[in-house]
Amino acid sequence: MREDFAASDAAARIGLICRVLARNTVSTAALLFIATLAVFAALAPWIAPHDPNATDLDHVLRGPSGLHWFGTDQVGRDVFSRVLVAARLDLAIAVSAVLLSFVIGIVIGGAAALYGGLPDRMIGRLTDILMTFPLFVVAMAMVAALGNSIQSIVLASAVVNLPFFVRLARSEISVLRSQQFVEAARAGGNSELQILFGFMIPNALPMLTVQVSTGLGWAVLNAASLSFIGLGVRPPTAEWGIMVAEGAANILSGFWWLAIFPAMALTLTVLCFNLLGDGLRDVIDVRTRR
Amino acid sequence: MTDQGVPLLEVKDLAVSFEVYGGRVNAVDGVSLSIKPGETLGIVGESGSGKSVMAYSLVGLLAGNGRIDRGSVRFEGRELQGNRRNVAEVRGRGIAFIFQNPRAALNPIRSVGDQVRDALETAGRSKRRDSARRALELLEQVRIERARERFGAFPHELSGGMCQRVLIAMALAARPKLLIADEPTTGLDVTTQRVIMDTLYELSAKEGLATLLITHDVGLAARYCRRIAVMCGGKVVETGSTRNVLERSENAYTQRLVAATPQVGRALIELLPPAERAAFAAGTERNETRSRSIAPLLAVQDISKTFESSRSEGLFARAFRRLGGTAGTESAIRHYAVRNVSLTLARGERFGIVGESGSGKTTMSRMIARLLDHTEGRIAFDGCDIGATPSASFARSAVRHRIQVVFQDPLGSLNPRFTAYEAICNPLRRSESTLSTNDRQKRIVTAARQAGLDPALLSRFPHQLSGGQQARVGIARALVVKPELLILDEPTSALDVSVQAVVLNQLALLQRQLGLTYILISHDLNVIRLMCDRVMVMRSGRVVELNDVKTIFSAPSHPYTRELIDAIPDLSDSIMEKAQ
Repeated sequence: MREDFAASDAAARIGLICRVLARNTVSTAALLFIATLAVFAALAPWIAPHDPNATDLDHVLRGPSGLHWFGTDQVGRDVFSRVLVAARLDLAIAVSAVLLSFVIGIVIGGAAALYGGLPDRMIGRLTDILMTFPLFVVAMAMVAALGNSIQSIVLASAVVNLPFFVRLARSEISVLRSQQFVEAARAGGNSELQILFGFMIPNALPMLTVQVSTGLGWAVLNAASLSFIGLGVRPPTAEWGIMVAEGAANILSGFWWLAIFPAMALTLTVLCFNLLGDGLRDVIDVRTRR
Repeated sequence: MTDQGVPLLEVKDLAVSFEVYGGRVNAVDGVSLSIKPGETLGIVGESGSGKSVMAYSLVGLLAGNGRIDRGSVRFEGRELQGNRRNVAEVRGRGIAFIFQNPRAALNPIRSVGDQVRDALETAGRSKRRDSARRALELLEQVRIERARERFGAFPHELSGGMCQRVLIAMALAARPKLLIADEPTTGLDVTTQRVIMDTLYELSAKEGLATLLITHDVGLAARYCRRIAVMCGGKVVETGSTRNVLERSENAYTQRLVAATPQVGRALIELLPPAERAAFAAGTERNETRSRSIAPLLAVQDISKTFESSRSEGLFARAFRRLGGTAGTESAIRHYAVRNVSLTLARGERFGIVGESGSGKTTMSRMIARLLDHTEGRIAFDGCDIGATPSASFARSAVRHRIQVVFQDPLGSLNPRFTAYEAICNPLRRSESTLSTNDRQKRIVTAARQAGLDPALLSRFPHQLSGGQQARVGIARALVVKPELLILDEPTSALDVSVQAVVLNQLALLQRQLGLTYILISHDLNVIRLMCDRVMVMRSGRVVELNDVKTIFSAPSHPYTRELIDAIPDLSDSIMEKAQ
């Protein structure tokens, strides 16, 4: 019987996802783009038509063609292959950074909401202080201090994203805390931890997921921006920010394809993560099920 | 002035539908009614009957997805339906509204006096310079005591009843001919309800104001209306004089609705239609003097709960006070939510706690259920001092599952992400973690059956269930761990009367079958009378009276108890008839 319930639930969930997608074409398009990008990024080393780092001094600064879809750069590297491989790196940085701030944010925000009093005030003021700085400058300073590595970019992006998750988790959980079903859970013999993980966090997920989606967009942008100004990932690694920075120097000479293609990939990715947020909320929020 | 014979408002064949996902829903389906000047018409119906939508559609206050499909609405001979200009002129001036949640209908950042002035000026009834005087008169007219002092008060500084009076004053500001009151006293205490309704009744009689009273409470309509229209499923199923509708109705729905309203002289089983009584009748003719064990199940001794308002002032307030040099009152003020309450419960006893909002009855129940720590006193359950365990660690106590609670808000007390099955399963998993999946399933299905919940509904999420079904999930969740003491905190206050009738009977049946002991908390003395052996009347945290239900009703010793009993609208007690 339990299995029947589970099956009907799964069917209902799939049905709901289809309905939400059908109603929300923009989110569907965003989801498709991100899914495609993720698949290509994962398989990038195997499907890239050329070695992203192989120079070919005979074919320097060639425009887009059948052989080189996005053209070649100043040392003859294939721009399409580089955009593809860069997607892998940028998405990996963004996902690990957001995952980190998501988990830490729930823990800190949840603790603030549950314990209240002094811990709550301290956490609140610390996030306030962090947010008074221009966040990109904080990230720059962190990478500069921690050294140019992918780990430091991940860490910096996570820290920059953290205040948003802390605040959201805190506000969601403090609202949920006073709900009657939480009191009912207590009467049902659930310990405080069981209530937190079984009742509060699942109900806070819809809003947090929306934040994850926007956060991913920001993290991609952040990683690219850091590399653009020469922090973090360094040439010759294929990375969108570096590619835009290198290409920017060549735009005035008429070699537009060097900067435009990675810039477009970056813009579309950030945009789609933002658009996806709204759709995701509808899918996860159980209350929209009819 | 229209003469007496011509209706003030005439609605003919009105139909309203709403666009929803997957089609249109007819909320109002061909309603016709009329009100003469100065008349009070009651619209009675359960939730979803379309009574509010009907009223809102009269003056074009429909939600964006709503549409009037057909019909005509004539007010003083002018057609309102499809004529925006007429609607705009009539709204507020000819027809005024008062709403269910008075505090939400007031602007929170403007003083109530100013809001009444605004209403006067918008209606063009007063110029700026004398509007203050008129507004004060109006506030006095709706019997706001010390109106001059309260003129500058903000809505949050006034009680719900006061706010409703301010709204009535605002509605009267434009000297309307028709007042539409949509559940004006729902959510207010019975004694407040009584004062508000009496005021409304006197004002409308004095001003010759016609009133459309929309309510789910048959008793309220019976008391204040000469004519009643009963609505069900978007249709008016019956219209007529109050007496005829209540006593000689031929309509099955009306009969059921009237019968389901708890009132003096009716037994619990009589709330149900005769055809449905058999299922709940088992054991009703039980022996009144059943054996009670000597040792009490629950002994509460002198418990109190205090809240300290620590005056947590902001940074700026503190700084200002220091600058000003005044020492300020640092002393924390202690508020007693419950003060020195004692009670003993025998096994199998049905105990009631009654009181108005703020009386401490819910605080009391939460302390007994160990969801809240008490400040003083002792609570012993079956000889075990459960008061000694702080509520935070009571989840691990062996007594936890012997005391269970059915909460007030059927939907709000269910985790929206749990199916009914998971909701009932959760406490069982906590209490008997070693149970096999199969046994657990059996227990859950049994509990659902006991609570009158069809096991086929167990796979649904709370929002996919009706209010009555949600309440049953809450009951099944409490029953599944086989509790000895059940605390029912207003278990039916959010339900329609016909659903309440079934749920109350279900609870009574369970009590008889399982020999449960329960504490029923309610603001409704009629429900308490039907469900309990003994009752405790509470007021501002103290016990006013504790006695047998029979004694309380026949010979209340405290004036407050009498006031409570008198405030309950009763079907046989009509203010209209007294006026005649």
